[in-house]
Amino acid sequence: MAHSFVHLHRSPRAALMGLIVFALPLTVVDISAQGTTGEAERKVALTADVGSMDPYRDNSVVGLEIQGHVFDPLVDFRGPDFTPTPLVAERWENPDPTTWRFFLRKGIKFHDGKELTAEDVKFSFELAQASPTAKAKVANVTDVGVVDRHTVEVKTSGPAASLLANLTFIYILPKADYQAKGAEAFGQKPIGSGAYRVERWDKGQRIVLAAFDRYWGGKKAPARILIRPIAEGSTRLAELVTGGVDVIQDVPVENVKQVRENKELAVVQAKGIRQIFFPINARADTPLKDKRVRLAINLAIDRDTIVRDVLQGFGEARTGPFGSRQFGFNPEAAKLLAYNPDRAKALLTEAGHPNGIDVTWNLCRGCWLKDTEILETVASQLKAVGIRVKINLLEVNQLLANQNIGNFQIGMIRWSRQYDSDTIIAGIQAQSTTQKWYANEEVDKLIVKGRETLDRTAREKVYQELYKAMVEDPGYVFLHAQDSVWGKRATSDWSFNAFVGNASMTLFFK
Amino acid sequence: MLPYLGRRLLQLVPTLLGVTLVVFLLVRVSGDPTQLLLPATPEDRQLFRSQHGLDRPIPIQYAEYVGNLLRGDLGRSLVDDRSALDVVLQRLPATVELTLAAIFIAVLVGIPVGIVSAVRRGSVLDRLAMLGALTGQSMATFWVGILLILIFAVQLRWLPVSGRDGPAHVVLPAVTLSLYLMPLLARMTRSSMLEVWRQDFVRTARAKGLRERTVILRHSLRAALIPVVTVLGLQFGGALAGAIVTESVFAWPGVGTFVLDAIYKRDYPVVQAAVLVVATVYILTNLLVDLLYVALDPRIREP
Repeated sequence: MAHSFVHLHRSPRAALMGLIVFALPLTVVDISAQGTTGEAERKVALTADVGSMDPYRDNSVVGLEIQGHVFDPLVDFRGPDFTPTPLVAERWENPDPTTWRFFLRKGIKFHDGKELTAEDVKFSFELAQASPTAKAKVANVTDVGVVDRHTVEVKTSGPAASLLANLTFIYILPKADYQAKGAEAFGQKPIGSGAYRVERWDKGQRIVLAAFDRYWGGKKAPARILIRPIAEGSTRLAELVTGGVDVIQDVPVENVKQVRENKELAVVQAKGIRQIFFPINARADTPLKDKRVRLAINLAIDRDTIVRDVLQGFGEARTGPFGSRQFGFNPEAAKLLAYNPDRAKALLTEAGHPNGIDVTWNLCRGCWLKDTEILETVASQLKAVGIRVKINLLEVNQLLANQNIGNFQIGMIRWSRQYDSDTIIAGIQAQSTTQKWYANEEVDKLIVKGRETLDRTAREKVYQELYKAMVEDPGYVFLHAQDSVWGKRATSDWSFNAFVGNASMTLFFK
Repeated sequence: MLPYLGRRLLQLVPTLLGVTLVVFLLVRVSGDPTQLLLPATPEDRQLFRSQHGLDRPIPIQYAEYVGNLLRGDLGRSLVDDRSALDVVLQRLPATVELTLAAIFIAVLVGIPVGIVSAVRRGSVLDRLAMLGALTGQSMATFWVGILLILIFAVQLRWLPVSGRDGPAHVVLPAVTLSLYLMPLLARMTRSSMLEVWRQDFVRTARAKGLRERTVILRHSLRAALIPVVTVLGLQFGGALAGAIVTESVFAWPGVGTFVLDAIYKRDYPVVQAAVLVVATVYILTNLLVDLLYVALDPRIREP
């Protein structure tokens, strides 16, 4: 999903917050004694509240993070290698390439004590298919059949290798309770089969989750998680410093160093969760039509400097569509777009632009971490090889609207927490194939091939080929993925679950 | 009094209608909600627009909106499909509580400071007070909020950092918000008092040999407060706007933080409902102020 976080960062604020963190050793009250280990309740500050607990109505990032505690999907991708992990489904098989048979775990209980059955799974697929925001995840599902109480058969329109990845977003909801309450009421007082049940929810104020005694995987610790929505980074930090909460989401990057230096606090970094792509319009009548110019732009960027100096290490340089730990990463092809200003200059001259070119790059302020600073650095690096960038500041809706009709030179696509190669590519290419600002037959062919190849080894080869094709004729400026930076009390037993994937949406403590 | 009240209540209708029209147009000019909500495909976006009637001509959309409004239906959120009025009303008490607390603090401090400044006009005390007022008014709400957190929550640990969980939680946000009103009240009270003292009835009161205390508190203050009350009423709207920033700094669960998010997501029905509700509160407050005014100055009742 494209996430909609606004990162506000003003330097005076950062300076002020620096004071907050440094101020701590001077305080009279000693809170180091109030270690959180062993206590039954953990307090977490997230950046926003959730509107509805119904994942088919609210699929915001924070929404999914909280809902992930209350509901379970059939399968989740967990760990640094995104291993498909059975949850509601105990196992699955493909009798033929377009059929997926899921065998449900027996004895899974919803929070009201009723058993989760195949009917609930079918019902949840129907909700997803009717949801404007979730239906893309099940777009290739043509039929969901109940074989018996604990077996579901899913038919797809063609071989769908990314089905499992998409299903990690399809939480299983209780049909009977949902229908009895009605959609809106269910979203306010939900029950699921997840490890936590919603004990209390004061809108905009707090959500209290209590560990579910009869969770199929055993009762989780801590017994309670209190979640508070705090939009301001400085306020979240102040709550962490004073011990008001144990864990905070999105530590302001400017304050990370100070948090690290404070013995009572710790920084938890999750690599490359938010991926940002910059589509290049290769169809409009500009120098960008030339593949060599698009290569030159990619070659002229010193990404390591940007990640080190501007992002202060809280990101990962990308020279292709996938990160180094993602499925389909091609280590050889990744070197092709490494920083090489001389080659960039040579390519520009070869393309007939010895005096350089002018390009317009659309930017929305506050759309991604350090957006303005990063783009200004990129612009100065590009200027060194003769590419003069005009940064065109737009409001995010305007930027996307213009992009969707192909009215741009270089744009922006945010793509968050996708971990299957197909969903990453499908998301960023969707706009290209419909609007035709970049077309490459080989890329299109490989996308379809990757989607239809069910064998994991064969599939990985397809994505490595695709990676190479996308790098050799770049339709994007590949730049970086930004980290997710959390802060916690040093004594807290909380740890981030994975580097990307659905698992990272849940806040389980160890 | 009653015909006056009736007349004023009738005037509410065209005003609120005007508000709905302006907001209705503004949110639609500001962008299309489907771009952020559904980045997927143009077909999905088109389907969403037609499901929510966003593809029809604006005058028709507006007519339908007003029609539903008259039946008390303010539409449903485009983001999570909840009743827009419900979600706003759920958040309103917190904002009203914060604003009233801020006004209470502002009045409690601002008016006495104004009186003392007027009485001791030109003294060091007066100058300090007015300098303080100017400083207070010039400081950004956001900055003050963080500074107060730094001093009273992080350093001294007297008060909680954020949230709404009892009387202690309202103190810092209310003080922050009151700093917007307080200087204005102090300066208004001061200049208004000085104005009143030049009038004949004050001279008469003094000539009668009344004690200065009585002259100030019983005779002058009542007359001097009329413009102060007016300003207070007018600034109530400003305070509500200031509440957006204050709520966001202190994670106060009011309309402010919530409407910011809705504006960002182009959630038309929620923005419309929030503005309509806040405008109604604002207009009713001003009506109340005008009634108070009538109580303070009987001449206003006469046509």
